[in-house]
Amino acid sequence: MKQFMTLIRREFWEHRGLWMAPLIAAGFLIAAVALSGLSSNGFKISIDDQHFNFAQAITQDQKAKLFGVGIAALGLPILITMVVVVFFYLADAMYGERKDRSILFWKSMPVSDSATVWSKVATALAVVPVYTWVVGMLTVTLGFLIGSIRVSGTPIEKFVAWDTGIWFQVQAIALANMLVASLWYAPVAGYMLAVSAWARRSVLMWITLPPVILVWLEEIIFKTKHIAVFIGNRLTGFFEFLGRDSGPAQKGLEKGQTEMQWLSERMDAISAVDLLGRIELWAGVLVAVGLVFVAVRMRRYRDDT
Amino acid sequence: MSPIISARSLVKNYGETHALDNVSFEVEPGRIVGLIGPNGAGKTTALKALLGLTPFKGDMQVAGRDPRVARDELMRDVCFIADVAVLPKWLRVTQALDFVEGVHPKFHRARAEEFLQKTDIKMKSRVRELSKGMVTQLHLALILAIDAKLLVLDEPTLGLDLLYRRAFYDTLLNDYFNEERTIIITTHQVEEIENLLTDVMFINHGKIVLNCAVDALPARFHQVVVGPDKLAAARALNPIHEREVFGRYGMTFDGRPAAELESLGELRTPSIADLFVAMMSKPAQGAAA
Repeated sequence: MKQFMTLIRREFWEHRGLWMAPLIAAGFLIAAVALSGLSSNGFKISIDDQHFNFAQAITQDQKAKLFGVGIAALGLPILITMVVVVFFYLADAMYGERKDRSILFWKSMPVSDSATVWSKVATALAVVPVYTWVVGMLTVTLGFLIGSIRVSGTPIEKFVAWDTGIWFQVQAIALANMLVASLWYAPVAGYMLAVSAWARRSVLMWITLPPVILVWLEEIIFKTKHIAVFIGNRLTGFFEFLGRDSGPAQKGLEKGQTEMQWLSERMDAISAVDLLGRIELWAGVLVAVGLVFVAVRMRRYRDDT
Repeated sequence: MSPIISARSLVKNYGETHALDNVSFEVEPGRIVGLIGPNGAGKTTALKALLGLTPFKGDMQVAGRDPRVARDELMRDVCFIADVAVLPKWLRVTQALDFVEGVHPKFHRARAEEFLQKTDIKMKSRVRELSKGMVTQLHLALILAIDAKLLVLDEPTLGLDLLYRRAFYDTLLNDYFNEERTIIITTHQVEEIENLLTDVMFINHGKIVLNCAVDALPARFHQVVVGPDKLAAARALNPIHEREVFGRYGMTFDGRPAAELESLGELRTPSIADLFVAMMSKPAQGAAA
């Protein structure tokens, strides 16, 4: 365990972007909240065609809804930053140590190739997401506090109210969704690690080229698009799942429904936990394990130093 | 004592090239073995094979393990420095210590820190900020602090100036080596290590052409300079190498009793460097690289 933790620390030393980028994104967000121009002239908030303006009275439930959607949206740029950083990390994870020949130093230590590669998988799919989640959680909280101080005394004040219950709910869904997304995208990560362990140069090209060529060949030879659809489903499937129930939720408040009920339905709809019940997810995890195994073999037998 | 390394019938080909051509050897604990050969002779392949870094055919046991199946376990007892470029540029000195401490059960951090204090290396520095000599010192500090049985050095002092090279080998002998430890060194700079070796192994074209204790060299090899008058007599004794300098001939003999050669001139024991040249340029062995 101590060894595995050390291997993960090593990943953060080598790829500083993994911990710095979410912090930088958080810094920008906080700065935006703290410094952006606030104007109450004609200020209007609209969520899903529901418009709020200053003239309108606002109920407690509506405030909670605004709070929930607001903190979720505030955390989103940090997540996007993380996805970009993890992508480049995976491309370099097995290639960097061969490029600078430091692989001979790492291999002079009593650490198996398997532990090394799995530490990279854990870094990309568990440690960085959880870390980013913590950064996001602190950022939206701090952002909310700064924002509410800034709007206090302005007409916007009445739209802004802290809601601990909603806060917990949003954080719980965010964490669950990130971990489900990690499982969903595990085969993509496994593929990238295997290519990164194999390619002698231009890793990003080798990651993108084979799928592009396969799709192209299929279209030329069979005039079909099965591979394209298959790859497309894997890449966008997670978000399609998130949006599956957006139809009714998009309609806004139904008759007799309180704002609170609407919000909790909406929250359930954006939870991806049910994806765990899909066979595609677990099939993908199985493929990912196979690809990680390929990366391990590659690291063990590839001899190009 | 059982050998720390025993290799039998090692074979490794890269395409048409025989990097290891049926190589067998044993190394006892407490020896310092120089593995010497021209470029492309198979030195690095032999080292990689015993470190579990490359697949090969044949039988090999290193510290009681097959390096092909248990590299990670083997590395508890084996250390190696491949050459100076190998520590990653982004690594900080403190991170290097943290890492080895975190993964190596036989690492003594205090010992490494003590050694580093005697150098100009700052704990906060990254490898990219250190000179080549300092990087080697850092690597050496890490290795001195590991209680290993076997240390493998592949061109460890390549690109270092004379002061660093001397200091490197002095530290190795004084602070590291003892009768339970074994060191294998490959280098081009034969002269530099000849005085510290207990054994020499010459490798050429994937074959071991000499495997001999340094103590045993004087009894086996003789060098004599003969004038033209004795040239025919000397050649009749089958020298393994002859070299003409200013009309006189330097002859090297393998396995001829001294009594047989004394009439030719003054005998001396060839240095390892001389022997290397003699054996590597033997026509039967092909030209030296």
